[in-house]
Amino acid sequence: MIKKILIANRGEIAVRIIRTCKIMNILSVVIYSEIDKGSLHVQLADEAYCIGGPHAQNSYLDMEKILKIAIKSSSDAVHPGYGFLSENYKFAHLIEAHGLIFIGPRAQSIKQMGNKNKAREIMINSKVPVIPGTKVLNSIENAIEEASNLNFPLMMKASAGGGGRGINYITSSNDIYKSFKKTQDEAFKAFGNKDIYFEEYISSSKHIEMQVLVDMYNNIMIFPERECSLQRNNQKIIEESPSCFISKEIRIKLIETAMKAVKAVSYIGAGTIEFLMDKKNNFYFMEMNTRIQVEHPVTEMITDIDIIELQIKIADKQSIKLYSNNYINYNGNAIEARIYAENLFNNKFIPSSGIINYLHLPGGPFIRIDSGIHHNTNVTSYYDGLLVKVIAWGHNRNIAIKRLITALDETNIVGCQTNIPFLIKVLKEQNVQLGTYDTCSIDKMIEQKEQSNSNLCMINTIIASSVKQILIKLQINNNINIGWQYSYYRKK
Amino acid sequence: MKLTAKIKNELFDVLIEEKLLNNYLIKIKNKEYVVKVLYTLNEYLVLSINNKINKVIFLDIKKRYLKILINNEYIDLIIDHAFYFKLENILSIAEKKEKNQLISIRAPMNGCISRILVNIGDKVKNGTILMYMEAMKMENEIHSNTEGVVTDIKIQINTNVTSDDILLLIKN
Repeated sequence: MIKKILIANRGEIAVRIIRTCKIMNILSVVIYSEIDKGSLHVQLADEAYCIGGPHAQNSYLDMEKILKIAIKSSSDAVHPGYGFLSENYKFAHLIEAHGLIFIGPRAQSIKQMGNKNKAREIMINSKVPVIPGTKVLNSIENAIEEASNLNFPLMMKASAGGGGRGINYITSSNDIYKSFKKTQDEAFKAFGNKDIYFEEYISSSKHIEMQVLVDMYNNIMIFPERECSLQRNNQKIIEESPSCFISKEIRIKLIETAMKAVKAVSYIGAGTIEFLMDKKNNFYFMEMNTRIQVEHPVTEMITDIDIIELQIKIADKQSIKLYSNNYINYNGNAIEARIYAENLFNNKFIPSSGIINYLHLPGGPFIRIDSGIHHNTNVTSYYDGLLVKVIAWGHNRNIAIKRLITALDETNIVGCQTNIPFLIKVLKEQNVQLGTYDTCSIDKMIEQKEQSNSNLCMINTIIASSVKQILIKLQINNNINIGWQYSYYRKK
Repeated sequence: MKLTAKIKNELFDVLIEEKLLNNYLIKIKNKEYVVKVLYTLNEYLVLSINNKINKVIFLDIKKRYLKILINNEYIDLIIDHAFYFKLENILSIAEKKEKNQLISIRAPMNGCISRILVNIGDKVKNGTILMYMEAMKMENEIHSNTEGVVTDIKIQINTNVTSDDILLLIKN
């Protein structure tokens, strides 16, 4: 029986897990680095332990220290969240070797799926369609030979890769000479494994993924698909469920394929199978994520199922039969936008950091906020820049999008720069409104440099900056506060 | 008070009259605007301009440009005759690029230098990738904004830098 969980993560996902722990009457223990002392997850948890310096290697990635804290705090289980150690089979193994429960799949499954090339082979053997590609490439000669059987352009990918890193695009065999060594080096530097392989690049595709939950008693839950095609640099920024692009027939096919994939690795726990779908509705297995996903809330919003809760129950050897009948009913549409600390100036995206000195998070009907920040949070360059996820639900897609735009427009984060204006612009795009977007849409949008600064906006800007100058001159910057609810903070 | 503001090479003369405390009458191009300051905290400002609410966040106020987020639109602005401002460097220094000048490439963010691709003496072009910087799990390219020769590299691999630190110098 799990009574106490150590959460080996930070930011919004740590907060998210703490919330479910509280609902389930489970005590939560968190770890934090020196720089995260005042962060939200530390304030909300039942117990918190500082485990080292700000560098992730000295804190959130230090397996031995985390294990020690788990034992010291007499936790029954460890929840890794996403990122950090969540897909590290050695960590899962270490936790289990010390008699604790790792809330995630078996170490073996993490290992199998963590190697993208191995995962491909397993899926091919189980008759799951994969993107045309190759096995691990031994040499440049081998690469050129293999490439001749494929259609250009290709992607040269790191076997141990993930999160959009370690990928180079190959448009001709000349590129192979240039990129082979480079990709190997990058792969080794980033993932400690220099194996690389080819996959065909499918342009204008859609990124469709299936959330699954499997318990020890072979009860399988497969959720309606999520569409995450809106990406920049292979990083998702807006996700929705269900996809308006997928018909009932295709959904059934996707569910059947996901079922095959799950059985191929005798998977237990929560996982996500990612597919690429081309224009002709053919879909191909891309990879399987063996952890909770950032975008899990959209699924929760339309199915009324707390995925973290079931993750914990599965780890606790409970049955999820009560919830599962393979096909899960869903209601309406949900769409999520990720607010990142990013400086988007001149169409460049640069990570931004700073202390949040003013924060207003939105509310309103059918809006869910998963936030990891609060007033005075120090957004540093040590960790991922995801600050807040805003999720909107609607009985149809249009209303969900409208609610999301309204909520984003209302959000106010001052102290570090965010991508909110960009998110709003994306959501107002015709492609997005109609659901006809694909994985290239955002890059195309960025390319089209907009010159939209209207005259009115310019005049307002001049007025605002002029007033700011006067305020600075009079040094009354912090003294004006007329009828505003957040005045409390200022008195400090 | 008089100011000249410059947006995208267009000049605007601004005349500001203080009517009441926090109430201003501002004239731009013969049009009048009634402006009230409703709220301000650090770089955040709420203004009513002719009774319409404008939420403004001042970004990078320290730098040469004034970069502003107003009602979710980005605008960059240069202010001349900013005699009230201590910030001389807000003036349009960036516009002047003379020959044989040392140009410093600065860190655009806090982070760690992960790779340096150039050596002292290398010729670089506008847009050449000089180094990579790791911040928030991502590798970011640092580009040259000028053509010239690298004359000094101020940092080493794996050093942590803060935003605006000088990374290297280029003579054009």
